[in-house]
Amino acid sequence: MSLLELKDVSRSFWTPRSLVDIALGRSPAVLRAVHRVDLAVAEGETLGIVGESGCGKSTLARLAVGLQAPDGGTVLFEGRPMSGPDPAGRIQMVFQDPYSSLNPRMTIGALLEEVVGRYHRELSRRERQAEVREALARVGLPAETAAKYPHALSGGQRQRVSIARALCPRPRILVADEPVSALDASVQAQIINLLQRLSRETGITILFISHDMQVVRHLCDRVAVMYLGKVMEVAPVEALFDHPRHPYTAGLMDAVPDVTRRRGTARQPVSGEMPDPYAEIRGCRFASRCRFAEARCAEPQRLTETAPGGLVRCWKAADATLPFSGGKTLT
Amino acid sequence: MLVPVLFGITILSFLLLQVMPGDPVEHAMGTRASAEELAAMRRLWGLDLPLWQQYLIFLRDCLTGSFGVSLFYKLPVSRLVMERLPITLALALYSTLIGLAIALPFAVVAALRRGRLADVLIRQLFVLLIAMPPFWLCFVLILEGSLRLGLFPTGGVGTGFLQNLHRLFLPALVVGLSTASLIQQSLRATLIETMKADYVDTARAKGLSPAQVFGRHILRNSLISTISVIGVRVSWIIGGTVVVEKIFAVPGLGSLLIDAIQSRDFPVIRGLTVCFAVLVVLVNLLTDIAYSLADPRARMK
Repeated sequence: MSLLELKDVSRSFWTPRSLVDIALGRSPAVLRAVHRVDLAVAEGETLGIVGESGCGKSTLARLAVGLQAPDGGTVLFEGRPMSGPDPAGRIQMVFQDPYSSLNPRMTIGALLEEVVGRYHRELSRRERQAEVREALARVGLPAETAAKYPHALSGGQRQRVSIARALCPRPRILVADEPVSALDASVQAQIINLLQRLSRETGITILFISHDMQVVRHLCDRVAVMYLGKVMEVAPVEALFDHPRHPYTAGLMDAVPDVTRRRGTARQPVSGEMPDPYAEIRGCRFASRCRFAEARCAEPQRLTETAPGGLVRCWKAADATLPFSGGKTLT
Repeated sequence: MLVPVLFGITILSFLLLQVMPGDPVEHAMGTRASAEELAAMRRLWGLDLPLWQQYLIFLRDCLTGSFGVSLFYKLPVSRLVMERLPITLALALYSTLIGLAIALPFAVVAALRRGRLADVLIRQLFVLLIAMPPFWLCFVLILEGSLRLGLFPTGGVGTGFLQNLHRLFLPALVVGLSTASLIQQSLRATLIETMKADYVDTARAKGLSPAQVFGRHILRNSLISTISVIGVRVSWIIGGTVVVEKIFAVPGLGSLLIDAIQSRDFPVIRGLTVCFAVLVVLVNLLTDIAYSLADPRARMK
């Protein structure tokens, strides 16, 4: 059984209307950040969610944690529908920006003690402080960090604090929303290794949101590709990288610079801009940028299983002779 | 920092008085005094000396701490100031506390219900408050609170803490209401801004209750901006509450300044100007200290 399951989940945002808009009877523009997404996260796995900025990754993360309520569909945790953040703290989140996600006016110790106190009311102050030291040690930070304020720490150290904070309630799922995209490359590797170690040692389930294909390949077991609020493809990481089945996935891979690429093989990255997210699109959402688009793409596409464990939202994906299905053998 | 500012203030306040129309001697002697009498008076007050000598005398008086002798009270300016300073400071503190007590709940409600009816009504109310002329507000409060209901005296100061708490209530309320609308507006805006901060999401993700998130992470962080609003407001109140002081017969620094200007009491005007400058600098210093105590990022390394 899946530990966390999103069933037909949607979340839209409305642009606020001015008095003039209301007077003229204009309806508010609707941005479908996440549109009818089905996704299951299995116990112990690391599931990556990739896509360009604005594709709804972060909204998906917030829905998974319960920070935002879906306006359609349900989020199931251990088979039960969620309403708001889990009261026992079993789903925790690490935010993208380690510079703004820690309250600048509280020491690290106070920040962590607050969480410990929230979930273990019975502990004395000394026991809480011991718990804080242990939480810091778990992410490789010295105990002295507790007395410091966030501004005295580097980005990497702050993100470790964020992870330590998220681990305090002993969660079963860690949702990491672009946890390394604000960090230097060398520090990124440390944080990725930390997450990998946590996954291996504690068996924690990780939902890893990223736009960095390399990082996802290194860390994740399975990957979901999102585009304009919809999941376009889900596959085990090796399968996805060796044989991308959706043209968008193939284009994303080709957008990654690769020093080992063979001479003479051409890259075919996704070109053009994302369409207006407010526009209503009936058919395939990627059709406007797809090199293989045909008339039939104007019809709604469904997620269908093409290979074991692989789901693709493209009617062409079943056809194995298509040029993009061979990954890097493009001519 | 302090020394050059104060030095500049002494020069400015001295020179400004030279361009101010009116003559203390004529004011004191009336229109029927003869030219000889006027000249004698001028010599007595040292106003016949060249300007640079007058300035040096003023500077000497500043440095000795007396700030010169009032032409009309015949008392050192420092004594006049020290008599009235506690009243002015008490009024500033009292009105600020009243303002804060009024503004805080309204700012919180407005921020939590932003864009809704409650927010709109509260904002209109405080715009109305700040738009109302203080003298009008004073009269309304005297008519209603003092004359009709008899709850408060119409003015003046008493002796002792409790008595003054009662007597100064109406003037402090008038000043405090405008303080309240300044604080309410800035605090509401800061609260709304802080609610969007990432660390507030973090606090919610921790599983804290809405009240804990609001009290510990949103309100506490927003109040820091209120410190600087209060700082600016207090430096204005010192010497800026002339109308209120006059109407309620509160012998503060503001009414002393107006009296001195009307009678062209040069040493008092100059002394008060320097005194205000010192107080403003001190209030700023206190604001900075309070700021650094509240915000670890502003603390000196």
